[in-house]
Amino acid sequence: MTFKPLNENDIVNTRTLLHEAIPLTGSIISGSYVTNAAPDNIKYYPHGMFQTVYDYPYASSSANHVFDVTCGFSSQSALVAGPNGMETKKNNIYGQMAQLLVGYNATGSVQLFDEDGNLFDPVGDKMKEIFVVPFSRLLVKDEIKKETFQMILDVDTHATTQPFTNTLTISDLGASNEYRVNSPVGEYGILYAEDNSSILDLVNHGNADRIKTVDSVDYLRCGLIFYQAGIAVLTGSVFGNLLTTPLAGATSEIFYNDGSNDLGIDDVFASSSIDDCGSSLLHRVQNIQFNNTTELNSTVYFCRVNHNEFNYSSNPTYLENSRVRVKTQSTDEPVSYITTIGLYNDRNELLATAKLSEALKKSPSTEFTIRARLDY
Amino acid sequence: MSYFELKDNDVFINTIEANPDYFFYIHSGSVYLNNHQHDDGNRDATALGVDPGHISLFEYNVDRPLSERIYPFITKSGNKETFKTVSKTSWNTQYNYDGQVIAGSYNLSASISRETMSSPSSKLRALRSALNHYHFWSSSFEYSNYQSDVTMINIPSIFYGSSLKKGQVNLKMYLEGQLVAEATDENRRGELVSNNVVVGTVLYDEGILLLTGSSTISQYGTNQTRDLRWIDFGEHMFDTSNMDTDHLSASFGLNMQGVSQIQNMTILAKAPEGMLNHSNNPTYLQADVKPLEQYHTSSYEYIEKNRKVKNVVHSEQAIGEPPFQKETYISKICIYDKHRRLIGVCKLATPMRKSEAKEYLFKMKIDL
Repeated sequence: MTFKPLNENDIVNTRTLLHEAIPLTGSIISGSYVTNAAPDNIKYYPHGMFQTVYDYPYASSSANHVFDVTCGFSSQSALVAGPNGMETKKNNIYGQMAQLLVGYNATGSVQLFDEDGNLFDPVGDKMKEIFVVPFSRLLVKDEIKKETFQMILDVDTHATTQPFTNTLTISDLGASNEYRVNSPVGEYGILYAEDNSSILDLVNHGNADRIKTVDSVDYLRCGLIFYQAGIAVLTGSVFGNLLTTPLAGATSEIFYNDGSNDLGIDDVFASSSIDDCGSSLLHRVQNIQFNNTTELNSTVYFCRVNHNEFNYSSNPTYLENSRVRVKTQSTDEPVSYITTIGLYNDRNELLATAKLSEALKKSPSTEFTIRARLDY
Repeated sequence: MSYFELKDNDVFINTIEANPDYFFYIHSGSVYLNNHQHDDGNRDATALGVDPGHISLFEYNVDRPLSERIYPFITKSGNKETFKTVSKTSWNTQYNYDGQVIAGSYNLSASISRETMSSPSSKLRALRSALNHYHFWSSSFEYSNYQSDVTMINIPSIFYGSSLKKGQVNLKMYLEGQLVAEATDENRRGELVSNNVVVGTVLYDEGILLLTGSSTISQYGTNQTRDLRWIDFGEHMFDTSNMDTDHLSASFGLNMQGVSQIQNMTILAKAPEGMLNHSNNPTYLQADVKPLEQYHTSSYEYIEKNRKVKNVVHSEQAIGEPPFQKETYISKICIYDKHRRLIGVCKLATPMRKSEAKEYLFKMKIDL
């Protein structure tokens, strides 16, 4: 065994971005695991502040946490709360999410979610009623890849037989180049709803600066996606006045039926429990998909074996009858076989070993650069 | 936020040794892992997306049909990074220039496998060095013992970690549900012993069992009389071809423990008395004074109104405010490197109230 010091030109750090495509079809979210009234893959809690979606019945050890769903509205919202005491919880949810995701203003007040990310604008474009979807860290990994998030929602009237006849596609259009950095939790992008089949009310609620037109298709802002935090925030208006036919609760414009009542989106936010509110959203998800990113850091050690180095071995098996085993005549070239590279620190303590899949024959007539890569 | 330097005695690294226990039961061509029944999925043929008797790496695509599975991909770039399954030739020829996606797949699985040989195969020849290495424990590892009729059982390392645990490998053979033979490495030197006879060996680090016992233990079968020998262990594992109803009489059990070492770093962070009693958080100050709204300004000066620290001292009395003391709530501890770059955050489940008179020692652990 021979030591050879590595100099700074022999060590290089690299970073690789590994991505995963994450499809979350609506069939995972609702419908596949219903044995009784409640789906087995959705966990409801006694506190009723949010619900958790798993990809398999959550009592199974194989189930993976997929995302949570909750909703809330700001105390500045015009909604009038119903009698079931949900207002405080929904205000708290909104406040907690806003503290976390958009922080405080200069006076120490919690800021409101803003459709275009302009938090200094005190009045315009505030999202006061929101659905929040925090995705599992298992799926998000280091971050959601920008401009890959897509969610397809059913925005037709409540239907029990044929859902997804009228859908809205929401995506973080153009976010690769146009993301915001003024959040305490990192970068975020703006979610846009695509105006397919003219279902968005671009006339009344889409003044020019709220509409984005790409390839002659109009898009309307409807939420935010926080990439490192892995949280999507969706305005409640996506089922309300952003649509040409808001799901307001009239006879043919029902957002949700809680078993006995036909409710509009405002009724659900104001009066229904957070669990009902979340369930109503889950039943309207046709598909969610995004790509995640994992940073793989590597250090590559270039171990340079010159022609006049490492040609002998101190292994006991190198000698036979006090003669070098691989030499038959004294004039033969010395030969060794490199099997392992040990990486030592400056105190000569062994830190890592790299094994070659097959031994490398080394003689004075050959030179190698062996590339040992350490991933972490 | 205050910085404290960690001293030598504040950081130490332990190694935890875990012994994962696995039981494989082999019957009629099927392998059952830890006695788990095959779990049919609702949306896919199997819940885990791998064949019965296999372990699923990451258990990622649970009950997902092929078209809906999560898959990894990287973008081809000058770094020349790719998946191990993509050959250098494919990388050079099939993904155009930079920017094209190279996709992989999940639902990687592993299980035990069985191979029989009447003369040393290339795999057995490759194990010759390993057998020599174990030879000082027992002459049963002599390579010449494996020249004919050897059954090799291969256990992938995902099941055991760094090595099989000595003394914890146990093989059982059953006929019609009755235990007829058992072999263990009770001597902890790699010999599989059944009725004081060595019937095989265990290569602990490699996760390989080599069975050589060829004497008849029992006979079974109605269509045809068959011998049951140790080299028949695991017969028809994952392979139902040439299997008849006689084979259903025999079943096999393999129980083993592994050795898996996990390095664990413990960091002790002290919150000394008389320190860490001030916070720069906005909520640490009373909110009734708004610095951007309540200030004095003239041609010569700009003076913000003084803000008071909020009194959060706990009191059992409902009436009256308790005497002011500087108190904070410690909610998280951050670890920085020597360049003051944040490298880790430890959050407390419940914030700890820190008054000037109190001191705490926080013990943080992280698996390396």
